[in-house]
Amino acid sequence: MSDPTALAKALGALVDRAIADYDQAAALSWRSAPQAAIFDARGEALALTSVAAVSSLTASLATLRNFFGEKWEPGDAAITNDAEAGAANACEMTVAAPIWVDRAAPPMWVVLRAFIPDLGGWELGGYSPQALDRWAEGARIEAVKVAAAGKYRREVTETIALNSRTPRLTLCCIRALVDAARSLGEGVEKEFPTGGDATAQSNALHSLENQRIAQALAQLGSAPRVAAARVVAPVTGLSLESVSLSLRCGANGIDITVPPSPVASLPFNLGRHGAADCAIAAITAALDLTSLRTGAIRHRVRVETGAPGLLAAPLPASVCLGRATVGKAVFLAVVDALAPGVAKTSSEELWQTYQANHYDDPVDPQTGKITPHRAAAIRAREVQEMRA
Amino acid sequence: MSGLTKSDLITAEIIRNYLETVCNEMSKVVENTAISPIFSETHDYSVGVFAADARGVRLLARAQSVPVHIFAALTSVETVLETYADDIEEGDLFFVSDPYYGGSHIPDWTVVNPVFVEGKPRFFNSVRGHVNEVGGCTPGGYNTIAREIWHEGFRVPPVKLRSRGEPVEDIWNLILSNTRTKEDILGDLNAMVGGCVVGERRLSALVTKYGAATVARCIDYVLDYSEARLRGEIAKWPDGVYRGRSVLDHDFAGGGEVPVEATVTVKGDSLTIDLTGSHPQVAGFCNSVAANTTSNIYSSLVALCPDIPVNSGYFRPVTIVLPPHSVVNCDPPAPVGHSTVCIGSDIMEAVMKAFENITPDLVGSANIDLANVRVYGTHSRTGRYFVGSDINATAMSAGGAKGTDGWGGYSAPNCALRLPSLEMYERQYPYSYLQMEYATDTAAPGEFRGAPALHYRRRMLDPVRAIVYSQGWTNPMQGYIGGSSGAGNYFVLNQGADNELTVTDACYDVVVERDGIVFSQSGAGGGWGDPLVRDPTRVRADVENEYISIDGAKRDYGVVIDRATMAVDETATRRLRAVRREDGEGNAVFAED
Repeated sequence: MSDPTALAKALGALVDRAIADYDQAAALSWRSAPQAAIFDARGEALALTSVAAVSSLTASLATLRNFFGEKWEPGDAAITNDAEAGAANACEMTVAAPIWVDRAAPPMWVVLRAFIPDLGGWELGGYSPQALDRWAEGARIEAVKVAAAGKYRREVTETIALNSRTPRLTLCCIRALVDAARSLGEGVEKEFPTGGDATAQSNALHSLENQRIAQALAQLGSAPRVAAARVVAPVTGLSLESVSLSLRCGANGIDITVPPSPVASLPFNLGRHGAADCAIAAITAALDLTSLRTGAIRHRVRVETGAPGLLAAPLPASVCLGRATVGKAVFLAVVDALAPGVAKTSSEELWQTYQANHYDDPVDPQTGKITPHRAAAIRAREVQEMRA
Repeated sequence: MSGLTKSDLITAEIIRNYLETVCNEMSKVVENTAISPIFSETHDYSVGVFAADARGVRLLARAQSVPVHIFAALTSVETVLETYADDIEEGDLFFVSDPYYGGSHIPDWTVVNPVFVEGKPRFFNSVRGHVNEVGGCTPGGYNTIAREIWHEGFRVPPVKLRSRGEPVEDIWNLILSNTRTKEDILGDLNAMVGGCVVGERRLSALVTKYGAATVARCIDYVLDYSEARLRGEIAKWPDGVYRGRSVLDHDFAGGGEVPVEATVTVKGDSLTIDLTGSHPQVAGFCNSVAANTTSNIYSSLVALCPDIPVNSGYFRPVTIVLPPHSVVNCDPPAPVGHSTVCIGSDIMEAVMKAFENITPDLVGSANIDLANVRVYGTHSRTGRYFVGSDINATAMSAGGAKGTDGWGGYSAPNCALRLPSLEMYERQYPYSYLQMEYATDTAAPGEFRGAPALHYRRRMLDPVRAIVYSQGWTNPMQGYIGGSSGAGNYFVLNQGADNELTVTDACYDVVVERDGIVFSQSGAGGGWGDPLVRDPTRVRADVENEYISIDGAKRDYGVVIDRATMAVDETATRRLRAVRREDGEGNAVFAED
């Protein structure tokens, strides 16, 4: 078995390289929040570009694996943008592809995610403040193979193109995701020579990070903590109640409980895995654990949101602005609950850093839509693609 | 014409009837197995059988259904063939729904099934049906504020639902997860597939029984026969150029009237139908793609000569010209959600009006001037989300035609649509119907009057939201040969409540509380012929039936009825009608264009 520390470093380099590959292939002039991850055959994350999305990426992969069951071939790549499967927005597209490091064993997985330019709905770019429900935000892709046995499926790419205002650019981005996933898969195959025990390696990597997490949690003590944060709606004149939560640390991790809130009629709800993502992002930011690279922390942070509602939006509730609104409130409340004395900077500052590092939030606070600047850039790039 | 022997001719006729029977059986399968009332009750779907060879795709037969579906389904079959070319295998099954891929509007889903003969896809059967929910920005697929096609629903290019006999599960799921009522729509889609499967068996049996060569020869004969019959009819019509016009009240986007212009040129045994002059494409959702427009033109034509077998041969004598970038031939991404009926019916009407001076005895109302309300919400009895259409609101559009009054249903080109059972609606949706009756003095006057407008009033048993889209308030359905127009369409939401809203054009996502009342007047079809020559005894019967009032009889028909005895005062009637004619009323003469 490889040295876990060396392996962690190598896999970390691979996922970083994957998003660099994506950025280069998509060649966008704006950030599209790419994420990359490697999962073992059980669906446990071995390496991520950021653990802030570990919950939703794990959910996306699980959805795709469950849908297709055993029906996977080398060269397959499946996609989802469904909020039930971890996406926060119809334009947040996740690609998963199997990798067989040992043909006799179940495959490992590579997963990439990025914000694609458009997939229908009311508005260009995926932010539709007037959306009545999930379908009004854009096309729903629960699970479909965009490539099978190494070939793109015309019926899928054409369906995506038809449902996008920027068909060429959207397909360019999806192909860039798939290609980056393939390159990442090839890199993973090299790191895990045939016959290697990937599951054991995975356990070793998680073990390493569990030690770091335990050390960080030890400083918190076990007293229950509570906090609340106001939800700020991006559209003028709209307001929601605050998100309040209780947080308890223990030897097994952090338990966060958020009392259920009713579904919002506007798209401020969080997809089912969004609350966990935001909580983990907050904890890693506050405890200086952003360098974590495996899914170990997913087992150390438990978020209980109760019945389906604002923080676990059931279909058909709209969600496209959920992360920027309710998600932000969850983040701020978790950081505030962990304070005092833990976070080195304010919760708002940590949120800004998180946003800057991950999402480069393109929402216009006045309209709740994509910013005019971003919209113009997308349209201009689509024209470029058309000419090309 | 055929080179067939007498016995071959008999075989050809047997095969023609067999193909129509296949279509009828397919249609029954769909009707009996679909879930949504728009299929099982309203019959808003169509089936057809097509042949394909080097000469192209040809419609062979169709069930009596919604013509606008099946003529456009021909382009869907062509699109599937173009898209898949050499990638069509036995056991494949295709699906397409995109308007700009040979469709009409997104809710019209088309399933296309190849039938192999000697290893090649020689036949296709097809079911096109209007599904009740297609995702997109608005429940029900009719987005009154759509400004581009992405506001209207999930678009699907030609895809395989089944490949070599195996369902393509992720494609099924992709399509169905983009509807708000997945379970119901799954049932409807399965019904469409089931119709195709039965049709495939029957077509295979036909070829097995008669042999591929005989079937091919007979099909050629059947198509040639229809062509010859229609050419024979056209040759009897006076050569010339004739014009018709129909006008929408508005474009659903704040714009004014939207005219459709039709010019029909008869020359020998051929026709040219040219819609040049029609309005440029508009911002609202009443634009039509070419396939939909062509289908509506054919629909009018078929209504003129209903005893000629309808197939691709029927259309050979017809050349169609559609102006580019227009409301009858729009470019993407123009919204088209309402196009099948509005502007489709207006296309039919404009063409029919042009024929008024060619075949006056054959013309009649060709419009259904769609006025509809869609309500959606959660049904408290089932706990399920629902999207309810109420096709009743569009029903009373039949105009008069020579020899018959409007009969209280759809106009001739749409006559296979059915009035749904109110009880079934009440079972499936949280409505309670309070009223469904003809409204007095709303029928279009004519020697043969149109059907009266209908008043529907229903109580919502759950809080819902509603979308209304309506035309025909200022430009109701036209009359023919001197017949008049009848009453137009309008709706009232929350009738009698403080937030009552009268709608003569459209509204979007309006709240109707529990026990709120939704009222609709679905407009009347146009009359045929001069009302002053209508048989006074028929006018009296209309008064007895409360279709018209005594005052209306006098005003519209010049018929004087004694209020006490309810008898026609024949002397007074003759005198009044003579005076009216001297005053220039009536319209016994219908001028050439």
